[in-house]
Amino acid sequence: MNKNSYRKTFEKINLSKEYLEDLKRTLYQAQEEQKEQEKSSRSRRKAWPFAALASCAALAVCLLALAVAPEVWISDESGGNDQGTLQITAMKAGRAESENVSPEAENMPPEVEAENVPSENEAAGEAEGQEAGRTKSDETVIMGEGEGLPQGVIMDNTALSEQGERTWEEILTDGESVWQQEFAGMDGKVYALTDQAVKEENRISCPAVSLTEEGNPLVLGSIYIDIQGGEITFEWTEEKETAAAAEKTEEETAADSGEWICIYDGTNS
Amino acid sequence: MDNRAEASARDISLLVDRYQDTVFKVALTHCRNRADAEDIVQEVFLSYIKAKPQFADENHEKAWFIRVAINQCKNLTGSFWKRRVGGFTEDIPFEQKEEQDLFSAVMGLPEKYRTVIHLFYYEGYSVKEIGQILKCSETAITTRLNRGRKKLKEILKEDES
Repeated sequence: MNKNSYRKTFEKINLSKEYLEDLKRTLYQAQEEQKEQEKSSRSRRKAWPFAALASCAALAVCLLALAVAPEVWISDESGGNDQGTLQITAMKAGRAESENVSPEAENMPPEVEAENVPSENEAAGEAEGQEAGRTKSDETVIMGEGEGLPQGVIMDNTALSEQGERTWEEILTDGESVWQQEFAGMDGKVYALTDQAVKEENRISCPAVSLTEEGNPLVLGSIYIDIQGGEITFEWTEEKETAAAAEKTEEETAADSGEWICIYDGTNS
Repeated sequence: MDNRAEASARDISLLVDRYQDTVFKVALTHCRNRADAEDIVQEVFLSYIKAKPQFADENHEKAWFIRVAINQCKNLTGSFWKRRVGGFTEDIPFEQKEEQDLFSAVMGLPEKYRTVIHLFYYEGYSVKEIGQILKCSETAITTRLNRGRKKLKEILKEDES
């Protein structure tokens, strides 16, 4: 066998013209598709720096927003947003450890809408009329997280009081969850009904009560907690000033410790 | 069709005209049947479109087509189906008996001899070039070529007798 005979033999085996035409068409189509794909991938490659830049910018905005305003924005009663960081959760401090916690109280929903906090007048009126056995379904803890605001201001004692398992005094002075502050010029033990706290523009107000001999709360005025500074002040309500003074002189029920007691989680800021 | 598309179609057409014969015959020698060889031809040119390889010269380009054709053949013959069922050897009719005998004898050789013989006798490659294309040493190619020739002679002698 030589090269010529081999070549001559194999030269006779060829692809048909039809096959070649068909092949060329197929290849041309494939080439066009390839070009389209390359074009689209090129445009994607060109666009990616802009997409990445946009993502970075969005991330930066988010981080900036978090850095500038870390507090939670909540909706107050008036419907507008206010930077107050008022958060209402189920009471935990002290209560959870208490043996007297009722099963119903344990099963309470963990979060209550801020809108459920009664207005100052409602709160005052309610507090005025309330007794140890009052019925009020909301059981809340008011946690302040604002700058300088004492954290963990508590609470509603309703459920406990309802059952008559603990007295108001027991509830309001139950050790570790109680935060005390003295107010100049005040005599006797006065309590802040923080479960009836109302959030105002820059402060939170609670009815201030003392206890009658029967152990029922008597509203004396209001305690105001400044959201920004955390400063706590007391104001007599005009009508109550007289009433309280009268109560005080008549009954002299208020203790002589000269302390205000606000309910707190124990970490005095 | 605009100018660029026309040029592109012309390029493909030229490329097919230039290498279809080489690729088809390498594939036919390897696969031993026309249908598989035609499939291989299409696959090789599609690979070219996808890979868009750059070549130093025409020899390099041709060697690339042969190499890719052999790889595609190996993929096909190495497939599960082909290994189980076995390749189908096509009997291509020739006008002259000598040609028919030669073709049958070549197709009767083991694959490793067929490809080497085809590249040597039909494509006119040297042993060194075949070694480069098949990525084998020159010694191995020489051995395969000699053994292939010897076997081919034996087959053709048997046919004559």
